[in-house]
Amino acid sequence: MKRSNEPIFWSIFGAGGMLVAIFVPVLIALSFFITKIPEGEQINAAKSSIDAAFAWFTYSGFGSFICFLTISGCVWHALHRVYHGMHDLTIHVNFAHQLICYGLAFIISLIALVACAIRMFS
Amino acid sequence: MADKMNMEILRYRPEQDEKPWVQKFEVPFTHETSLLEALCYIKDNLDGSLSFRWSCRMAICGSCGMMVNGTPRLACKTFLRDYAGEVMRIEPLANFPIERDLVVDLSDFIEKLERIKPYIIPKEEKKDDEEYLQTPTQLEKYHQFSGCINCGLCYAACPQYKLNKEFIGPAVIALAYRYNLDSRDAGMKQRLELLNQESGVWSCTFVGYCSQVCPKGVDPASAIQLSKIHSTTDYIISKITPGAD
Amino acid sequence: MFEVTKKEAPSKRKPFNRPVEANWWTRKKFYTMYMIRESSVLFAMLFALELLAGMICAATGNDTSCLIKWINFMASWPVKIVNVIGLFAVLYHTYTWFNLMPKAQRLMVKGEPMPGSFVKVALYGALFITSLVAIALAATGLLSI
Repeated sequence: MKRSNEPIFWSIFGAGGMLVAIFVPVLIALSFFITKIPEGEQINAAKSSIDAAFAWFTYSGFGSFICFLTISGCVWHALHRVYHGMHDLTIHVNFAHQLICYGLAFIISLIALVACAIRMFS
Repeated sequence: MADKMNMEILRYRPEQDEKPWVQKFEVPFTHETSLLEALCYIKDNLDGSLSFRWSCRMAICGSCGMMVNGTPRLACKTFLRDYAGEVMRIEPLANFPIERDLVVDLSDFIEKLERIKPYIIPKEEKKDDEEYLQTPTQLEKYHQFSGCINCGLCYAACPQYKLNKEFIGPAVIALAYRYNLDSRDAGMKQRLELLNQESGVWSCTFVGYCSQVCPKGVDPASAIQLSKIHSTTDYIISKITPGAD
Repeated sequence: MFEVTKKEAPSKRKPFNRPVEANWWTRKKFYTMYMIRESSVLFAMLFALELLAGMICAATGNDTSCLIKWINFMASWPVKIVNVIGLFAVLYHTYTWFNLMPKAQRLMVKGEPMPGSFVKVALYGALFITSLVAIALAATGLLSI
């Protein structure tokens, strides 16, 4: 009677799914209003508040932490669905496929976490 | 003054046929004619060898499940008037081995139903003259899930069962959930042993088609997601309490 | 006296197993929509990778030259066109996700299961408020480096 370890992945999948559903639409919508910064100029909140907001999102300590959470939620959720989707496409999945999918999610989250840590502690 | 329905029925006679084949029939129908009545008309008038299961003709016994134009339906609850102008293609219930014509081998389903311990497992045995007391609210909690007639339509609908016959499937999990939620029952831990496995609730990806085809409104998809929560809680508890499995 | 051995009465059973096609999900609209629902989150992952590029740029140093390159990348037309498709995909995820969530709860209200619509209203409310707050914060220029 082997207990499955799916609860771990399912819980992360669920949290990520809720995050994607509630938070990502407005992020993408806002990204349409990002404008090109002219040559030689800096990010200027007065000129383009959206550009500045996205810069804050990736560059500031607190912003980059939320950004890391967003990226993590998206990739863990998506790669969980990719793994199960492969099974649905009659691809014979085994531990290797799990390792690649969740491994990729882990690596991407780790990169985001490191980038966030750099911004928080520099 | 009856209209005629063009029907294509998948036949299979194991003693003569290597594989299933399609037989065409023209069946007269009125506004009230059900698919079950049409099949009985065929058997009585056109080809007496056509085999199919049926009993109550009122969607409570669960015998007459079959595929109608690719959708799992009960023959007694399917009306020819809804297919007027089309060809009706009747095939045996999907995802089960074909025994003969429209009769499938449901033994896998039956065996899984038995495995889930579908009976009250009380905390203590009651004496002969002691009753269980249950409030209407306690009944309401599980009542919807007790409506399953074991027709197997949800198994024909479920892609995960199609892809992996180890999966215990929607009806079985709904039944387990029905007992787990029954206030008279104390057997959830035993049923969780089966539900916690990969072939238990965790084969489900919430396609949701099972609930769509269920003729009794049981909503097995919901029962499965709620059972996933039970299973997850049990998983967490097992990891933080020492000496557990 | 009435025993019949297998030798005397062999079974004529020969159950036929219908093969599983790899394109089973193309056969029914419900299944196709399920596959679309599942793949819609790939666009969320794509957007996450776009954000990751920004985070990597932001982490490369204390000057903002890389970050400005990222801003210009996000402002470019190819990225915006991909993100338009992505927005529809992610909204489809939101719509299907909110339809599924009521099925994952069974709270009893006044002796009956709580209607699914309560959950949906709460979720769409959360979507609305989160979006409003995000737009408000982004538009005011309060968030800056």
